[in-house]
Amino acid sequence: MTVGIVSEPGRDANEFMFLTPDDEKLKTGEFVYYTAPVEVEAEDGGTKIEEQKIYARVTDREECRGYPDEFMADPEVNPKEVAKKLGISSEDMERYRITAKIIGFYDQRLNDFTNPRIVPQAGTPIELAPDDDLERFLTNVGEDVASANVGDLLHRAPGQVNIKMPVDNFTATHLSILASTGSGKSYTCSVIAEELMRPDSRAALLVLDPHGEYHTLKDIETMDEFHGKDGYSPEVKIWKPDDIKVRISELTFPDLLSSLDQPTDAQEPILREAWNRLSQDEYITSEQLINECHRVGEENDSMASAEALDWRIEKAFRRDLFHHSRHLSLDELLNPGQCSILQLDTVGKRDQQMLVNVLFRKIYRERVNYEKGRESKLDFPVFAILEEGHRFAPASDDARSLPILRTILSEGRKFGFGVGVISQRPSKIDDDVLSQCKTQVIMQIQNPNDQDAIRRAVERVGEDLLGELPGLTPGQAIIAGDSVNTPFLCRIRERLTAHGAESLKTSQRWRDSWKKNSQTPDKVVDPDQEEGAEDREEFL
Amino acid sequence: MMKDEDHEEIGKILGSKSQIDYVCEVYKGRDVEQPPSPSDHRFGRFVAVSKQIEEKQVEFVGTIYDSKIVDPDQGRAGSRLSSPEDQELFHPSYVDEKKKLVGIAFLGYIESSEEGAETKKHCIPPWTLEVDDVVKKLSKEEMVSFHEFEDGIELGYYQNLLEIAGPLGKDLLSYIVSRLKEERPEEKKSLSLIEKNLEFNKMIEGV
Ligand SMILES: Nc1ncnc2c1ncn2[C@@H]1O[C@H](COP(=O)(O)OP(=O)(O)OP(=O)(O)O)[C@@H](O)[C@H]1O
Ligand SMILES: [Mg+2]
Repeated sequence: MTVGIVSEPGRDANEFMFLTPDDEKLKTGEFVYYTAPVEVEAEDGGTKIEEQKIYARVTDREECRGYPDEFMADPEVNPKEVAKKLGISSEDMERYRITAKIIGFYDQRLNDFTNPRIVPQAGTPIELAPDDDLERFLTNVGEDVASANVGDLLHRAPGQVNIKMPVDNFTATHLSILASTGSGKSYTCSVIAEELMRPDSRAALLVLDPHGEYHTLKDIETMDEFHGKDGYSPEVKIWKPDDIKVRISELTFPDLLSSLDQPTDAQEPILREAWNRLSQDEYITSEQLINECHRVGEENDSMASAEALDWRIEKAFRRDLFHHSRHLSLDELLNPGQCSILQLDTVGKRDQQMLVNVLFRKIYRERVNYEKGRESKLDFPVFAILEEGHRFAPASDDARSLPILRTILSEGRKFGFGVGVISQRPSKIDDDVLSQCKTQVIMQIQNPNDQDAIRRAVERVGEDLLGELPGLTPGQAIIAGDSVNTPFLCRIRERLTAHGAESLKTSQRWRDSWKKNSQTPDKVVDPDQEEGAEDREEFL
Repeated sequence: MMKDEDHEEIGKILGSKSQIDYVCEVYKGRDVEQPPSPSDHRFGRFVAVSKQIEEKQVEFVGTIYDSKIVDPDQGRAGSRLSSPEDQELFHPSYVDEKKKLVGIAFLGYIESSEEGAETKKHCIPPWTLEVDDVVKKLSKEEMVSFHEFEDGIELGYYQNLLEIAGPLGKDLLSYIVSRLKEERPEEKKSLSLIEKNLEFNKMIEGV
């Protein structure tokens, strides 16, 4: 379908303008093409000239012929009506100048677009890119590669251009899902989780769920869509906050130090020595550590300092998170075809950070061991989803989990440990962490600081698409990065499982409560008992 | 619709400057029993010429946009009024006595088929008139009806008339619009807007 005619070159060598009479169809982000002769590799290894479809993305549209101002002098009179009276058809009036950015022709050999750097000549017809081409070329999924069907192309009719993300790619090189609150991050992440649990992928998936909203993924176990012909059926395991423990012996000395209430300079060497002596033990209790400290104190004539550590150690290990023997065992936690959800909704922020620190370090170590041919508990790759990413890898704050996340984000791909970072405050995430997420799903974002953070971290998205961010509605996303051949706007599909984080309908709740209260006037509802009353940061 | 007795003939085609721009010589007492009154050929008066074109009856509809009086005794034709181009047209051979000439811009036509169906069009008439074709004036109703289309009043000839009538075009259109407005008060708002724009543009040009 021809949609326009090239009118002039653009501001740079990758841009051109074309005119279109059409006022609805060509939105920013839409794909078009023209044909031009291009030098490609020939069968004999030389080169030959071949007609190729050169694809381009619409980056801007402006009305280039509109009604004269004077037609609009009276707000009560429609300029269209005036035009009609003067024998000017309104079709003549509505013409758009579209700016398009050249992406290139699809090079079957590279499975990617190549920009031939030829701007089309004025008069070249511009066609709408066919659905089939887009489905094949936008993402790069080969024959034998598992794909995640996350939705379809936004500007096309539903189901016309399915978006299939290459699972191997984004699970290895990390993923970020960034959007303002309520734009569909958790929803999108659940869609991805569903895709990863399909028979084609059978992922070893770990979800850190600070708001307790992922439990509905449990439905996966019973839904036919997720069962394989070979008898595969995925498992979804949920850990309640009480079952989530860090074994004290799994801490490093810096972990320990950070857990203690400001030990003095005199106390620190005592603690370090005591910890070193115990470090070979599988189980460590607070009594053992205190006793060991006393022993070290005695040997060094600094009993007072050693004793001053008592209450500090007791207090630190009283935290619910720590336990002398219980912990999350990797055997139980991670298996292919298993989605493990750690519900952290009543776990404090510092404990959440400590947990991620210890757990991710443990997983990472096993993965490194495996890839280096050493003995390992994890002989398969792992993908972990981290909600509230800015909490674990903050830009300015201190967090126990930050160093290990930095390591995993930069090195993890070599060792088969991928992370999906989710956040509503991209500007508050550590820059290194954010920029290492090589696939990005970006949804509605208003805040200019957050938009800037995305601009910094995400290469190749283009201002045109970033300009669309504020106007996106829930479920609409820009997908960019290494898993796609060119960024595009996507409509995330509906979940197969129920969504566990439906927005609270406040007025409905008021009405319900009012009804309940007016029926039983003497019953006073404890505010803490009311559903949805807890603030999401209350425990932190 | 156009019955002959409703019409008063006002003159005859004397020549043309273009496909839409004609000159008409206005009848005097000698030519007809009842000569046209001054208001019959005033500025902005709508007129028509009937012609048989193949099987169809076609009314060429136009408006008087200019006039000239010519007195052969005064030597060359109305030199103070006319530009050099015009003088070519008002060739001395026509000018053998005092004459009143009017310029008519043809703005469209009404075509009646044998069955009586009418088609109205605002455009440059595709056919030409001939010397001595009779020019009649249109009644007020006919003038309004020429402008009436499905969605209301239209002046599809607006641009054409502005070009033909030159400096007088805006006044002429203002006059036409104000008359249409009187006859179609329900379209007063949009017609007023057009009228105001014309007046405004005229004022701006004057500055
Ligand atoms: N792809 C989608 N299809 C249909 N509805 C969607 C989609 N994405 C989001 N929604 C709707 O938007 C609501 C908010 O989505 P979600 O809970 O994922 O937001 P969020 O970005 O995770 O917000 P928060 O920052 O509060 O965690 C959902 O309850 C759902 O109704
Ligand atoms: Mg969420």
